Amino acid sequence: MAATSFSDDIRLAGVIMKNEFLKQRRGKRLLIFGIITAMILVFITAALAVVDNDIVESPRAFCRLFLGILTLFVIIGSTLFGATTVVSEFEERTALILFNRPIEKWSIYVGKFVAAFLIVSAYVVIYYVFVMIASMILAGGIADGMGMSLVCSLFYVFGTLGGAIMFSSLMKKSATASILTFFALFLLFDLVVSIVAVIAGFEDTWFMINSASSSIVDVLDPSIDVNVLRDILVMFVWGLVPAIIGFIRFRNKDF
Amino acid sequence: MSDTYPIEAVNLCKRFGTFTALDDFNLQVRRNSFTGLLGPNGAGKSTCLKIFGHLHKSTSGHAYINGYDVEKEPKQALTGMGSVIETPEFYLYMTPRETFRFTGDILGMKKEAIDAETDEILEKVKMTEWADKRLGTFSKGMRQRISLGLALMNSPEVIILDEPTSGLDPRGMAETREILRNLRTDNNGLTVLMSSHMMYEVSDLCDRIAMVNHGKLLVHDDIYAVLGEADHRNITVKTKTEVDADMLASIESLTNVVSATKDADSIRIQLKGGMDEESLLFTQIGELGIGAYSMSEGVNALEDRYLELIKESR
Repeated sequence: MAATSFSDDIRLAGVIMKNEFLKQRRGKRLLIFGIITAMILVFITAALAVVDNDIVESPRAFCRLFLGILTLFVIIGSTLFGATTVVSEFEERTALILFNRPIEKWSIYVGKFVAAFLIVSAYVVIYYVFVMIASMILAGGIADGMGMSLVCSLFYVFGTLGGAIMFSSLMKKSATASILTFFALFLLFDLVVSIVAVIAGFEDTWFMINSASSSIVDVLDPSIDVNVLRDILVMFVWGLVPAIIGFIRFRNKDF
Repeated sequence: MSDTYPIEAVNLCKRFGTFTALDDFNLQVRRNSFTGLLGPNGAGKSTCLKIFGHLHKSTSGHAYINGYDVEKEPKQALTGMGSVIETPEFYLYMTPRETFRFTGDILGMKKEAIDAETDEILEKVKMTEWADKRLGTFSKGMRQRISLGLALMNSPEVIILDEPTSGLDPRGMAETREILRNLRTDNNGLTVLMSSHMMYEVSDLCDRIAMVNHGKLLVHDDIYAVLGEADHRNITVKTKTEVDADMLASIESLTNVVSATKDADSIRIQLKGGMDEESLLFTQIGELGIGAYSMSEGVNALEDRYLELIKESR
């Protein structure tokens, strides 16, 4: 009889996480995302190295340029690794060999979420390392606040993955979940921000994930007053609440 | 809950909108039995097995495996159970060995135990030479054998099978049935609940039958008891010699024989009674000296009883 303790549930989440890593390692997504990452980094770096401009003279401007497109990069990552993780079990009928095993649904869900978070986060870290090295070489230094920016980025990964796994739990098809995740994170939230701002007369839509994510870049500039803690909390809530909604749906979903 | 019944449904209900798939369904599957769950499409068989397999939530009632409520204590209930529900798919990026490792990890087995059991089970389901090939390249029959193998991991006390030969070609069906037949022979205290549409399969493999229609249990008993409730049993006798009218007349004169008719190259006998009467018929047919070389209980007996019960339940 398997142990029924919380620690066993955590162990099982680890088993699921390991399986997710294996799936991604043997699938094409890691490669696709790796190519996208490399293309973004190499293209911008090459352009900066070739074209004569002021950006390479300032580490801050150099790093801001790269980090400015990081949110799009994270959205693509969350879509690739988060939006299909739950729905694929139903769509590909693998639930039939997983859900009938002695494992709590939350262990499956957490294992999948953590795996997706670690994969996207790993790419984000690689992205930062590359930017810092390139900045050292081309701009002669690294912008202050890169560490805090990385922390903000990881919370943004968490925030976007919450939405991705929610759509993955709600939808019946991987393609629908992926499209909804991408457009919600890329367009819809910005649209909502604009509408909310206009209708409600908010000057500062700090409570939206996309507004909070601006701290990823803004922490590099001491002239901008950034409430990092608040932004981190906003991104955390944007990850947690949809993830919980997704879990409730997942837990009650019949095969 | 009872030690005698490792699989138990108590007042189980499942509704999908306005459709009631299971309606106050009660079933107690006896330990060490191989029970066939029969019923027409939409009768509630798969829904029932999916609730036991933790793939559906019941609307009300309880499903117990080894005394544990599947919905309230899924980990305890599912630890002692293996199942093959519908035709499962696998993680195609894995090999069978990796799939067994993954399942063994979930079951909390030690690495050495997983490795040993994997080799043993793959041998049992005749998939040893495919142990390290990616599942994505496997045929449906091969995948079904792996499914059955996975269901045997960690020596479960209970196995639930939902139409295990469905969609397989004749060879795949035969291979799957052979594995199931061996399971029944080996026994090891195993309790099996298997749904099927194939009467031949059920009469070949199962010692007990549960018939279900409109989400309700119609009958649940030993296969011979279920057949005994029918007016007659159909026995098919094959002979080396040409069947003639005299031969049919002499068979019809035997004890408990209702009728004997020529059916292609064999004789179809309607017999009153159960196992004892069938045994007597076996002896008497031999004594007639008509060159009988094969006598089998026709699938029709079960099929007739099945149709009779389904008709009554409408």
